[in-house]
Amino acid sequence: MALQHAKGADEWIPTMCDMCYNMCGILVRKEEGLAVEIKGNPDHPNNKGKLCGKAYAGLMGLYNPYRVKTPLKRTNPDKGIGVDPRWKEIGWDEALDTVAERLKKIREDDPRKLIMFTWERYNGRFFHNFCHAFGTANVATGPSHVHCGNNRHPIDFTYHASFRESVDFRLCNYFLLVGSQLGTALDTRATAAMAGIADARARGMKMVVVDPRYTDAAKIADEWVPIRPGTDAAFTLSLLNLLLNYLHVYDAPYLKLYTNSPYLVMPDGSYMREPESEKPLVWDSGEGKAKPFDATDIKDYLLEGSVVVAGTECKPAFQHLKDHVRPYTPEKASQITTVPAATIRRIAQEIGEAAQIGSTMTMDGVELPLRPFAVSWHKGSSAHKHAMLTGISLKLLSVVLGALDVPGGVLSMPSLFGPITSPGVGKDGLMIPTGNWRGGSGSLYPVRKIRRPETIDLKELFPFRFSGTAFDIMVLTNPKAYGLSYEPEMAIICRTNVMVNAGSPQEVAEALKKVPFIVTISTELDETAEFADIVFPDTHYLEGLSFFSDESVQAGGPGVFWFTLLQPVVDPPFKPPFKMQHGADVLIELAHRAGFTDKYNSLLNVTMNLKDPYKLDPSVRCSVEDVSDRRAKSMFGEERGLDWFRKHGLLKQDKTVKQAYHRIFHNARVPVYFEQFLRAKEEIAKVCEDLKIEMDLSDFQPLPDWKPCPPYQESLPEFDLFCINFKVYNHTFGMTASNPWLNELADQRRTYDIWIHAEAARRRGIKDGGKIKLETSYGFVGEGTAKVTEAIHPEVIGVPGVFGQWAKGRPTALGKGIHSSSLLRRGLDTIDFVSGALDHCVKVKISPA
Amino acid sequence: MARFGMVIDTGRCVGCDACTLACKMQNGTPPGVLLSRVLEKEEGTYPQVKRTYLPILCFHCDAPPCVRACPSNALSKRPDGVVEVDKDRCCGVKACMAACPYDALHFYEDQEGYFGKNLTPIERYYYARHRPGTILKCDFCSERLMRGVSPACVEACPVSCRYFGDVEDPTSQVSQLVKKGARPVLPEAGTNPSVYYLFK
Repeated sequence: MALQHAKGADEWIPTMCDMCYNMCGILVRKEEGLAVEIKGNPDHPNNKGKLCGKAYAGLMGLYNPYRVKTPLKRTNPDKGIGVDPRWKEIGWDEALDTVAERLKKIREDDPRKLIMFTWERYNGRFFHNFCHAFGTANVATGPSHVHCGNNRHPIDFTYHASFRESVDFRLCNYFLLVGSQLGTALDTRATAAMAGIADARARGMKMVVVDPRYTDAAKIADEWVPIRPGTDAAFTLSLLNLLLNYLHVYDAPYLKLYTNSPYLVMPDGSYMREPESEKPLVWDSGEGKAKPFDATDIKDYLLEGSVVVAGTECKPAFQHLKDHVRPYTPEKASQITTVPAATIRRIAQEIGEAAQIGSTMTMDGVELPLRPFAVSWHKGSSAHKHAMLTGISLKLLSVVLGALDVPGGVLSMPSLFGPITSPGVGKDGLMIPTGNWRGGSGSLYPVRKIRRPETIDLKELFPFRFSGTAFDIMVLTNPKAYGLSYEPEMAIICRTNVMVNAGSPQEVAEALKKVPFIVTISTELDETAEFADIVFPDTHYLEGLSFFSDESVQAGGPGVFWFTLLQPVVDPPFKPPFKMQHGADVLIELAHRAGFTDKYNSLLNVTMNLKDPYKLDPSVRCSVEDVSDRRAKSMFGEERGLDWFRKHGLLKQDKTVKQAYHRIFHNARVPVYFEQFLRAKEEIAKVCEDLKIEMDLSDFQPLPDWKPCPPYQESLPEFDLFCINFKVYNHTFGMTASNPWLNELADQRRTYDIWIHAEAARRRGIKDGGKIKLETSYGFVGEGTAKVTEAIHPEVIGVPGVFGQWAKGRPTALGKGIHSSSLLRRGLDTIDFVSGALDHCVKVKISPA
Repeated sequence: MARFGMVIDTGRCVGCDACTLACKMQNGTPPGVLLSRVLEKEEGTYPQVKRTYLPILCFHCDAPPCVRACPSNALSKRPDGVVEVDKDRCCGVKACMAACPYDALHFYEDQEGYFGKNLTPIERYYYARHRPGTILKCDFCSERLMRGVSPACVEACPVSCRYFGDVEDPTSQVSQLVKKGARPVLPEAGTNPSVYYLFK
């Protein structure tokens, strides 16, 4: 019954998966002109021939009959949720010229009036450069990132100069996972982590999962530690307190050389600096005097106690940290988190032992510290009001144990330490992102210049937020109120369904209605396309082309770097008047028709690192294919152009020890103390005061705390359960909800059901599989199916994914439980103004429906 | 002759359904038919709770009740241990479905496709190999076995929790694992399955 292979039909095309963001290598088999079979590419170092289930279902998306196959024009001027746009099919030239004419006018008037939301993983640079060439900085990965880890990327930039971290599962012996489902088909480099964790567990790595819900990751762990939502920081700060103040376990040599722990801090919270050079001072306890942090003759750095410098009493930053975490006793943390104090004590002890402080190993003749302990987290610890402080407290566990970028610990995703660039050092001695992340988009250091907002995501005002936050929609609703001197006139939206993912659809609809003209590039008519004036058909990833887009998802640790090609397996089901191998080709054509190809090409020359003789001629319209070929040749020479990659799929380069574990090979320090937050807070407050806008800046503090998130302020007693939102392994956000294979699987596995604890269900007369009603105190009412279980915190109910969608163009996705984003709301009390995260935790009332 | 069998390590399984969907694609099954799937079980009370995944497929029993139940001799146990259905002989009376204690047989009714009556190009390609009104079941991906490749579910598992081989060869990995304690589920059904599980 399995596939009968016709003679000569064994044509396997190497390309990449795009069913989530992890960019696994795949091989696709064609038969009778159809893509019929997908398997993991065994040669691809990312996933080594393995895939998650979603990868296979990509074929159903490719042949989805609801694909957009021709440009569409809206004929109904009214816009709203559920309002029929009354689409009219139009020709490519009409659609392109309509949009290009508007682009021309806007560009002449004020280019900032163009905004773009895109969550394009592969050819993102074409999208961002389009905007920059046009003259607008209003381009974001999309406000749908409120579902991503808003505290993640800034912290990864700060501590690893890298977009994302990666755990060294080859050597890690103790893995603490908080608010994430790594080890299942979820989170970053999921497929690799599944195999990595399974193998590590088999050789004895202990895994502890902290989560309000017994996740699939908890299933494979040694221990599940249920925790009250939004209290991860209290748990973590208590662990830090035990390690630093009771167990006295910390990596002092590491803290002295590679962190700002020895920097002297004055009572006002700022560094004591050398007057002439403004360099932060440390105390050389060998000589008994203060010296600049980078002095080369320091005998020993003071980490603890206090000293008087120039008449002012100062303490090393590390002493401040120790003092700051002291109130977080296990008993106090237990009251907040419901985790027993004895459990917190035991885990602190286990972590301290697991880190093996002082141990080393030799690799290729180089002696390296060995710290086989890792802590990781994602959305569960991030989608909260106090996200950044929580993230910092989690990261500090690795920092005090010296377990960063050394064997066994948490590692950079090493694109920045790979063939491209190396880390930078700021003037205070702290690590700064370089290379592709130069400009420090959201790093916690250095502080980007703070000034009056010019962009709808307030990047000028909030220097530590990464692209895609709760801000965009909030500002778009009333740009003038946030100090913007213009109102957006056109939005281009591609590969992000903001109506479904960016929080309350009512809020998003109100914001989108403020933009007079919306263009989407879409594979399906989703909820966001329903707000469009012009829709262009988009390619599916099996029709797409992109070269070396996986530079930011490389594995940490030893092994190889890889350079992969996403290439078309089949042609798209439409024929524009230009060669289209990606949605970005529409942008290239629009730039051409709107007359800014020269600027666009010049920018692509820089950001794609094109070298002579492969630079684009500014006057000649390019294509995704053309640029990809030039990029490959710029990197690898004339023989390794696109044709070579089409045939071979990928190229590998060995890593050196330094590239695998870079910590001891450079002197860039990482922070345990955030002096820059204090300065940033003052500057932001000043701009806010000038503009008379109210923001909550209380989390800009140099050391982390636990603070209650909004549900803890809920005063109505009948709203008595914490409602959390969690990701599911068999869908990628709401994106794949229209895929029928994944939908069938989700139905079979009861993925769409709402988790409720057995006792909470019994008290309310709710039966397993029965319908329930869910209400918030601010008016949301929804219905779903109950999954009654012992495997969730008794005070919590869990609403999965982003389902309950409503677009007529995605019929498979209709009627799948509660739309979780509808529970969210933007406000001073729900947004983390440091990271831009939106709190996903609310108090709800549950009853049988 | 080899007798094929499988061992599944439930301790490693994360319930990710890569097997389920690799099987779906390999066998091109229509809506409602999952020849390989994952069951889950919850035990204990909060917070001492444990969930277990049980990936299931046809167990290719040594004493297959489906073969005995089939009035048209469409089902057979091959010498290599695979229980297969001859779709040309199957007349769709579903006696096998009732007889199987493991719910491993499925009926293909020639119903609508995933998007209604009009099949997509890939559905036309997939479903052409099935005959309406007959039984669909796992055959350990016999076409792959003939090419010397493991069944799709085995190759697909991202955590490598499935082992496949000759259960009659005492040196094979599957035999070794059976010796180490891998056991079938519902042994009381007396069907002597060729699929075994390691429970942690």
